[in-house]
Amino acid sequence: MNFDLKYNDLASEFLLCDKSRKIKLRKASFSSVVSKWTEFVNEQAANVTAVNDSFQEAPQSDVLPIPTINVDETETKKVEEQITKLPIGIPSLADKIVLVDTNWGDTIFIKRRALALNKTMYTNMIKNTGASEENYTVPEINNDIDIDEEEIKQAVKDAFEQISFNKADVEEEVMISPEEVSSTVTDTDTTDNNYMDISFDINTPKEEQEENEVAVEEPIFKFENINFDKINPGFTNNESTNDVEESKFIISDYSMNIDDNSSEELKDLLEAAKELKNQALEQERKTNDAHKLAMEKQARKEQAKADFIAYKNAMEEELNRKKKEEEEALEQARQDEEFTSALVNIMNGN
Amino acid sequence: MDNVTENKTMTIVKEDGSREEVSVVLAFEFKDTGKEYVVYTKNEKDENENVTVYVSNVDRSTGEPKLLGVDEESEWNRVKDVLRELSKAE
Repeated sequence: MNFDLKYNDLASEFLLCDKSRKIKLRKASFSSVVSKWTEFVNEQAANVTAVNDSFQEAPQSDVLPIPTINVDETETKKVEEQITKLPIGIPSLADKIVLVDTNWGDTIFIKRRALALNKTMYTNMIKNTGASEENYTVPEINNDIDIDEEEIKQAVKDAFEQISFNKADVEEEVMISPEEVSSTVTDTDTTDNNYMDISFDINTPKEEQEENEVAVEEPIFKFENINFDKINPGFTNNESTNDVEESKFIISDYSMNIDDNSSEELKDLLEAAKELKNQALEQERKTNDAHKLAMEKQARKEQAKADFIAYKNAMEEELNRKKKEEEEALEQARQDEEFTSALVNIMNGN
Repeated sequence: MDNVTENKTMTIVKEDGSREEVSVVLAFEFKDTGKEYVVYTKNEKDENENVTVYVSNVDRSTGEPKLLGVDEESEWNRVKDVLRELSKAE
């Protein structure tokens, strides 16, 4: 067949020039045509319905659903006990790592949150891990120092690689007391992103530290199946300034290998999440297109109506003008006749 | 979803300004020319129950769809071929 049935957006009103061809169809033929057309229209309507249904199922925004947290009181308590025994810096790191059950499936998903540490925190953390200074450069605690992002990034990375949550190791690695650290959480933000930004003000007095502390969402921890040996922090400098007091370093993204299998699962989950997000965006685009099409159709309909009214008015004006011209012509003819009649009478001497 | 069994109707406005509501029988377009046609009926039947249908070319070149005639005989023959094709029983 060299033609396609077309379920189109025909306007409800057309100007027709009386040029339509007409042909008679036998009753059976007509029924067949109507049947095929109806079948086609129903198929199209079903497709539209299916698309609309998929729109309903799609997320209303491009924000993916937040995974639900599986609370396990026993595990949480175990973790809290371990955290209290961790050296300074480590708890702040640990409580940014949460294990959750996703509502996308049964697989455990590591929810990563950004961690921000100032230089003091870095230093203490690195010291606490017992890492060798040969492997990294520890920034001096000096308000005038220029911060080298790469240096700190590398230092943190090295430090993280040294971190062990083994109780015995931790006890051996504690080298400074909490009082030596003058850092405190000053800001948190957990709104839209699945991570948390926390900045630390190095010089905040201890009294203010307590006031400024922000209650962090209570994390639920599970240490099962976690291998903290490989944590690769990413690093960004949140502000371009040499003023150490105001400098905030935020690790906004770091990958974490639990074990090979879990990493693969996590990777698959992230890929699936990306795919879902892309699908949601695509469906939203289709919805917008459909809406736009409907609006355009309505606009065309309105325009066709307006054109028709204008055409009708023009026709009426033309009709009135012709009528008026005819009346004037008749009046003129009548006057001419009277004039001719009078002239004839004068010529006849009447 | 319920089947769409009722015919779609449209109103045509003739040159004399009179309006007439008709039933759309089908619409199609030729793949090669892209020309679009609408077949409609006024439900006129003769004594043998034959139904008269009308065919118009849908012109969208001006932005607003308009119904034009089918001027060329070759074009009209192609339209009739479509109707013959669709008239065949399943």
